[in-house]
Amino acid sequence: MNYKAWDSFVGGNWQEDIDVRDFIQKNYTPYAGEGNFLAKATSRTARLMNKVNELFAKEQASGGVLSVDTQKATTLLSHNAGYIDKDDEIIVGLQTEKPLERGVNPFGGIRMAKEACEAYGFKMSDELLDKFTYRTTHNDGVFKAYSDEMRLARKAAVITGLPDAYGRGRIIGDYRRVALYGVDYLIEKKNQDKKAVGARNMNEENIRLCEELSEQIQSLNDLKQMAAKYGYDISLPAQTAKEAVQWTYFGYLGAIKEQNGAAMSLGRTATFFDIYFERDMKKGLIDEITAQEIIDDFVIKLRMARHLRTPAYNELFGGDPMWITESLGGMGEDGRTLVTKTSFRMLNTLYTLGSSAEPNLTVLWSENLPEGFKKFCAQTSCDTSSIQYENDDVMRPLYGDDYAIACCVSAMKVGKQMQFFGARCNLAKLLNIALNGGHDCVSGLDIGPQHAVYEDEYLDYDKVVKRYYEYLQWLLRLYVNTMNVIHFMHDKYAYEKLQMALHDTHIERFMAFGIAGLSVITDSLSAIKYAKVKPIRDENGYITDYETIGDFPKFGNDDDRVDSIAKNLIKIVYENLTKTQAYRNAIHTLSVLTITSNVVYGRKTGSTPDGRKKGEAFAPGANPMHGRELNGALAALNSMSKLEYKYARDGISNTFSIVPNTLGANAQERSSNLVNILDGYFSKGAHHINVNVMNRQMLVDAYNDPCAYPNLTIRVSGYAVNFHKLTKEQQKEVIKRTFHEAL
Amino acid sequence: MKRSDIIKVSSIQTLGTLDGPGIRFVVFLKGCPLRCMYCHNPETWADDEYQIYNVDDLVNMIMRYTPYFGKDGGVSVSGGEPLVQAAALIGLFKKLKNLNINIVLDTSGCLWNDDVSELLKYVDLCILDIKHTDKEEYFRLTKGNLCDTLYFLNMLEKRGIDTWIRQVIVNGLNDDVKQLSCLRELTQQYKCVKKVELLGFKNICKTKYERLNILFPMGNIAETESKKVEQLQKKYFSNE
Repeated sequence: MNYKAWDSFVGGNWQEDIDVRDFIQKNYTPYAGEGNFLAKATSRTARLMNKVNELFAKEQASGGVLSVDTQKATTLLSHNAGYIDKDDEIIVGLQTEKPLERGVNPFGGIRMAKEACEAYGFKMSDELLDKFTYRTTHNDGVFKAYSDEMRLARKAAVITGLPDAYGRGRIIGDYRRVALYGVDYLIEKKNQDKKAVGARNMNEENIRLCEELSEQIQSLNDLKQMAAKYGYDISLPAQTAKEAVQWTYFGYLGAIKEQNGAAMSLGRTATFFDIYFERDMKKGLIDEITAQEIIDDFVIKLRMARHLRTPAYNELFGGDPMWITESLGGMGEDGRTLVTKTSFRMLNTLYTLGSSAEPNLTVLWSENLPEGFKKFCAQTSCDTSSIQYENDDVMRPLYGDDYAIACCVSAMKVGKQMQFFGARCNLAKLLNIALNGGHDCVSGLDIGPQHAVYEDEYLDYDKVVKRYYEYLQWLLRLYVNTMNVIHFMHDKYAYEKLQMALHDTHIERFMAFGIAGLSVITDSLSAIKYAKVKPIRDENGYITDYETIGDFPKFGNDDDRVDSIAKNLIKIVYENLTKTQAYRNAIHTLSVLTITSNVVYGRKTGSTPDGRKKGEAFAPGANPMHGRELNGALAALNSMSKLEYKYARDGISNTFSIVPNTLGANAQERSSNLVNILDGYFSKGAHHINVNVMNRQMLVDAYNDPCAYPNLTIRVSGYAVNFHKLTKEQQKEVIKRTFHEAL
Repeated sequence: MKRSDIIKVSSIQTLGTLDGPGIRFVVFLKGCPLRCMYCHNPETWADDEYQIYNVDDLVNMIMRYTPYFGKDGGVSVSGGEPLVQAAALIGLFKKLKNLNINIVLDTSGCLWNDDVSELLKYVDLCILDIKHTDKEEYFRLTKGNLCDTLYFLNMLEKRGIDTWIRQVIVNGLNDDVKQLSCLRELTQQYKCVKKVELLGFKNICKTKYERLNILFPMGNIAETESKKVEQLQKKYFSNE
């Protein structure tokens, strides 16, 4: 097969079958130089970005939501074309007809959508409400099938944040396919697949797949129509770099019009685009300034993406994130780097457009990355605190060299693997429930195996651990089964038609579980083991507090005595999860990641033996508890690097904040020291790190006077936020975190 | 365990970036014969509350951090006054040298003996703090003898050990033309001196003094503005 659009590309298997990786490998140009070739923002870009900044300010002044189109449910075709400023835009497409106007997506659950409208002073139209009253939503389905125990675990918040009322997200469509192949070819391929599946015996699995393929094909037809509204015909492959970016963006735009998944990640597009930029430059069609301008305009569109959420949702996922994660860099399996000039151009948008939370720029770090790129990343981190880093050297062996990160830390092969997102369970709270024999003192609910309250005057490590493991087994079985219900119903009532159309028909699925409170449970067990812990009981005999006598090793100090507790716990959780079969034969994976839910989880957890008081926030992700790291930043990093990725393949999140003067005396030293820190940390097998280079005082000032820092961006978990978009409670927690500072 | 193997450690900072080139694993040692009025680490003075490491333990611990060192980083030994424990440090430095780890000694240079002499064989870079260039002022500020420090500097020159000179600038104490010119003239005479760094006096250590119940003689003196330090640095030591 051949298209005119493929002129001068090196051929290969990608022409015979859908194989974007093969296209990249055959055609890309690695770049080992530095960032000095980059262009600045053009006056057009500055003009457009000014308009966008004004809109952002208006949105913030309106309480976080500028407007809502309450008349219709958002789909690929629900809205006509929308523009920021039609004449000034290079890449076009908005979710609704007006910039920053949010569409209503009731497919996950009508109640949540209605509440979300009301929370911001809007009212869902009667017509829309009426329509969905007669339609089963994902949320309806889940609650029909939930067992009493599942409801109870949810109510007691020992499993929380489950995607049972909103889109699960964390699925990355291979949006590049739209550009490389054009939509007609993708439809043709899906028709072939459907025919083949139709020839099989019609069991439940194959019937479902046939129905899904029909929906996928329909959504691809819709995508063409959506692009036509903007005057583009995307049935054939993109012919230029500008078209490649535009086609790809249409694929992504279709996905976020259709789905309000928690994380709607972009994938790994920069090096793919670079092939088109290189070709156009060789032909003399564009120069560096134009190339940067196209990327800038694309990124402006990504920064405009919005979903309508409820305040309860914002507590778990603070700062209005979309997780438009773009994975940059990394190494190829053949040893060539996947860094290209467009990897730089993408990072450069933090300068041309100013620092920003979205897209969620994620650098796939390898010790073999070109030094010029390492340096540029570190410098950009020091200047903007807007980048996260993940270890390509531990992921590549598992996922090859065309994987991307969904959300914060979830790796998957683009277009070949997807995941069922599963929020997280609260390991710290479970300790209190276990010691109280199945009673949760915070909610007052009885849950899990029922036993007598732990009797001895002091906590005995072996006894406590034995009891804890019993409850852990109970919880993890319940957790898998709850997830099975949720994802069965999500597939049934809120299937990601377009995103799955941009996957292979036969894919590998992960079921991604999570844990919160790792450092709290770890330090608590350490206190029980190495100090003396005396439970304090209320008038009913339930343990509600602890008196901890003596010192004990704490996670975050590179002390194997306690770090091994955390390491072992992850292994045990993972192994117990795999004992219960997952829906659609998904592979169980585990993350140590909290987003901003560490605040809510803490609020719902009583005092713990590590000295943390009732209601106090947990540390985020896999981080040590605030202020407990006594040997400096690298000791904390070493502790975290001991957590094994093989048992937590859905990612181990570490949020690292350091004061500029502690990182180095001047900009140059700071960059080179940061490169060494990243090289050292990842060489130890660590998975992820968010890097903030800032003073705590600046956050305190921004807390007190938000107007003074309208664009202050900070990495809080596996993503970045505009600081002022967090709730006051979340802001306070971020301020309390450890800022590494050598005095 | 031989007595000379024991190292008394006040604290460890795994991420040091200011005590030598690149990323440094910094060991702050117990004990100091000086009593500098602005001392940042008064907790190192008394012979109590220390952690004991033998050389092998410390080396094993340092080995966990070598992946972060890159091509410039390494171990810095500070204090307190590390020369107080020179005998024990010889063992440590020998082992680090064998492992090809870069060694920085951060000292006031106030001691000289055979152990110190032996120790210097293994030092890649010495950070020498010359607190004042006037003998009497030096004594008033530190209760020590400037001659010791200058003797030490001569030995560094003789051995050809790369040296960074440091001085903490305190308003009204050593920020005058005479003192700074004197420091410039002095340091220009030494080939081993690769850099002179002025640091601003800070009083964030105030809380340490309160906790230790020690009177902080400079508790009420204003911090030296970083802008001023930059200007002085530029004016007197811009070539370094």
